[in-house]
Amino acid sequence: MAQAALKDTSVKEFEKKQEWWWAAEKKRSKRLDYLRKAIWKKGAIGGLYAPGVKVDLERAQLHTQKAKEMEMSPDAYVIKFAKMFAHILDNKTIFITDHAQLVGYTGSLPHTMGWDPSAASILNEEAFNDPTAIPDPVDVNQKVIREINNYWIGKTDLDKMMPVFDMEDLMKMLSGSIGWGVPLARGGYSSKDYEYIMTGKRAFAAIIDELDRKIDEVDEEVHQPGANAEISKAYDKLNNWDAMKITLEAGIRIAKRYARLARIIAENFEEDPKRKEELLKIAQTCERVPAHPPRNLQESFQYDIFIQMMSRTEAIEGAWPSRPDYYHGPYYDKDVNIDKTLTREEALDLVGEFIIRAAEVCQFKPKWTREGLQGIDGTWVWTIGGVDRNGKDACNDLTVALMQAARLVRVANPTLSFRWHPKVKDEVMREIFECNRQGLGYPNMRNDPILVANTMHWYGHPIEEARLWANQACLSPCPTTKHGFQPMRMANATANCAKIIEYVFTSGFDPVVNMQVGAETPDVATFKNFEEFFAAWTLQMQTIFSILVRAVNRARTLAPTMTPRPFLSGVSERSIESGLDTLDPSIERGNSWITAFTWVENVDSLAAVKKLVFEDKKYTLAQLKEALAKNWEGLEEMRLDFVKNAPKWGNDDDYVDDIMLRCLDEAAKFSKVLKDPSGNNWPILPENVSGNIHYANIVGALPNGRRLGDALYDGGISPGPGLDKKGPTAVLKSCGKIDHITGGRAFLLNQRLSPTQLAGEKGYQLWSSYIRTWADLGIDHIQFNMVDDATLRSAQKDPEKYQEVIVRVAGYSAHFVDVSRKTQDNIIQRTVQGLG
Amino acid sequence: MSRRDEKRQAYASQLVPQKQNLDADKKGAAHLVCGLCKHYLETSWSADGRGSCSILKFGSNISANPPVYVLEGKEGFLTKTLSDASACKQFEKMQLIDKDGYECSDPVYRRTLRQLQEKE
Repeated sequence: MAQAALKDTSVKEFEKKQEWWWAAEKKRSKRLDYLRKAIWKKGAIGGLYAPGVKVDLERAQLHTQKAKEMEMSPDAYVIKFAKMFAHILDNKTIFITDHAQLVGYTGSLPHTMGWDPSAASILNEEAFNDPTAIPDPVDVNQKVIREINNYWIGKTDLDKMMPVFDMEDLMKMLSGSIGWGVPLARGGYSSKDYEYIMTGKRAFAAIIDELDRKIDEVDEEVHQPGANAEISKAYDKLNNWDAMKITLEAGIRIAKRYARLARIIAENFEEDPKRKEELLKIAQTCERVPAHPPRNLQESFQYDIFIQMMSRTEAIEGAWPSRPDYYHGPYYDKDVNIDKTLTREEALDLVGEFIIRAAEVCQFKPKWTREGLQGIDGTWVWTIGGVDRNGKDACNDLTVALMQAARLVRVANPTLSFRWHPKVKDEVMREIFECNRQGLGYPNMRNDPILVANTMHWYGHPIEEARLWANQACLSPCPTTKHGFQPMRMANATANCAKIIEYVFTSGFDPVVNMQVGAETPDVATFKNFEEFFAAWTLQMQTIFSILVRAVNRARTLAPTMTPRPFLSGVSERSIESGLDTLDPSIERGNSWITAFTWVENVDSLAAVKKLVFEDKKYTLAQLKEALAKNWEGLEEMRLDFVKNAPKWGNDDDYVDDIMLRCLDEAAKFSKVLKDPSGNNWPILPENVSGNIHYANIVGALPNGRRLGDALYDGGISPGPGLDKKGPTAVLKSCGKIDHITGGRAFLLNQRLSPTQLAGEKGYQLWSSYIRTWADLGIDHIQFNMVDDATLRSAQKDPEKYQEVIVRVAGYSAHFVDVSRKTQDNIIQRTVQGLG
Repeated sequence: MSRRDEKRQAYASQLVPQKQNLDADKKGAAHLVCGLCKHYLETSWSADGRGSCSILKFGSNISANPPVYVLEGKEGFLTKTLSDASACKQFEKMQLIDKDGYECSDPVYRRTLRQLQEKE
């Protein structure tokens, strides 16, 4: 929009037109406006990065340089790894953005993406092959990348792990047909032991002191007369503790580098006295944290950012498990309400900047991840609200400030996830509603009492710990406690479930990747009744889940020695105490789950087979098998019969809803047969991110009437787009038939609501009543898109004018213009539900 | 040969990372390559130019003289985007779809096309 038009139009006029992004731009402070516009858009647009965003070669070169230098070093691997980490932090380029109060970034420059060349050759090959992400001059830098890649071949985490996996399972996974991601412990979703590091009791210096005591104590023990297995294990502990110490010391040093930079700018270059003061405050902050515990809100945010930056230097993290209001809230209260060192406006600026600092974080990721997470770098789903360990309402002033700041900065990532419970105050609910009404697509709503019970049911987390949960990625609750937190959830336990029903028709042979992937069940044409058909479905489900889980279990078992995480261990109480790497399954309670992409296609397909084949006898299984093999070509009438005349999930129809319950029951039973290396269960979690688009060309024709290439359904238990014909309450009633405690880990539900209908107080009351029904039915999750079709169509037609429109994709939000046309169409196709 | 040996043999070509050589890739460009064939399938490994054929099976060799075509079996034929397919009788040139390079998945051959363009 032209500056003149922006200036001449009032906030109220923009709000009336529901052009919330322009209203936000006019409402936010000059600082926030600058910072918001200064960040580079890092989420992939469709499957490619935005112009100008480049792979960070500096980090890759530093990493490689140190690795080569230490090849002949006598150090244990974990110590070598810690030294590589320290070398990167000690030598990477650092910068401070103008007007910023918080510092720290994963790359060396604002437009770069951190690239870890030690993770996987498959990723390095992408860096080599993707000219859009190679920094200029491309010819020269492609050679630099080649040199780096050639050094790491055979040495990356994945290259080292491959020979110890089962080759058949690995190839089935890597075919990309049934799973997503690779089984790496330094690549996935990493929670933190926030109860240990974010409660203000200790920070790096105190931990280093404790490590020194531990090392001296055990060092003395191992040199006493005598020898046994415990002493043998003690050498590994000593190495682990040494490595933790190296990383924490490096963490303190890089913070001091930022402090020094801030002072140099303040004392030598900055002429504005106010900015000079801010730079000196940054210097003081970085001298304080992470060495010592924070004393105020700025230090608390900075401490958190440093921990995230360091953790993302150590590993490729695709999520940001966090509970910012719970852990930073006390500092907000102290600064704003008690000491009054910050006004509410100043605090809001700081909160907004904290969100922006997270929004800019990016690590170079492979194509399948980019396509599965279009528009974002990873799922930064920050958990707010909920209860404390005693069950009391944990909402505070920062809960509200985070939502207000989110409406001002309007980034798609991070998003907020609200833990609803019956004691939440109306003023907080109104903030949630306002964020959604203004089209952010967040916070989503999580049913806290249900999820606390669910967390206890599946993993046996004690209630006091279960109440301290944060989303591990999009939706899976995980306690932020000593034995409860999950140091790494590997994304490859993500099943493309539509293949389950597809494989029933192909006896497990995958026609897309030309490989026997599933179980060799009998020819589908020979099944005499639905029970035989369902038994084949169950076996295919069990086979696919097992392939994925076996690899994760293997990787987690080997992780402590093959892919240790000394920094994450250094901020984990259980590792400080035991000397074991934090990835060691023996010190984790276990919080594994299988993400079930494209789940509902199974339910609608099974219902269609049961009804049209076995009950109505309109078609034989042989005919259906042939139709699917031909992708319904020349059989449009038959296809439409399967679309229109078979019951569909989401209409409060027991016929198909009972099939959903039966499928979930089979999966839940099998979840307890599968065990993770901690001995805990593997429940399923139906959701999709953008997997419904990513897999569109990989999943063949299905009995629900789908053709190869059609977008799959958009959400975990969301009905197919346009197939929920009986209104929003019917959708809730179908979803409410599921037991959200014992039926699975969590269940994603997308709903589109009309922003016009939800205007004003009446709109809030309608939404509020809908949320009460949702809660009463015991559904664990719901999220909303409240952007109308006209706006979305206009954005497709004229994307330049609608750069800031945000939509809910799946477990995350994204700018509408950043997702592929197919995903855009899929969002528009979702039924707009009228309430009341 | 044990079943495990068979799997190892069938999959080895995809499992082992290969060193990258810029110059070698630019030499001897064939006019008809697997990446332009409608039977060529991308896999998760396609970033470095690998894929498979939806017609041929393990044991085929399209660079042999005469080419060997195996059409039965459970394991697919692994090939590369830039493999010379001029002698393959199964080759059918796909219809190229001119679409925005940022489009996701559709066409699935987006990366293949870009690699081929760079090659020219």
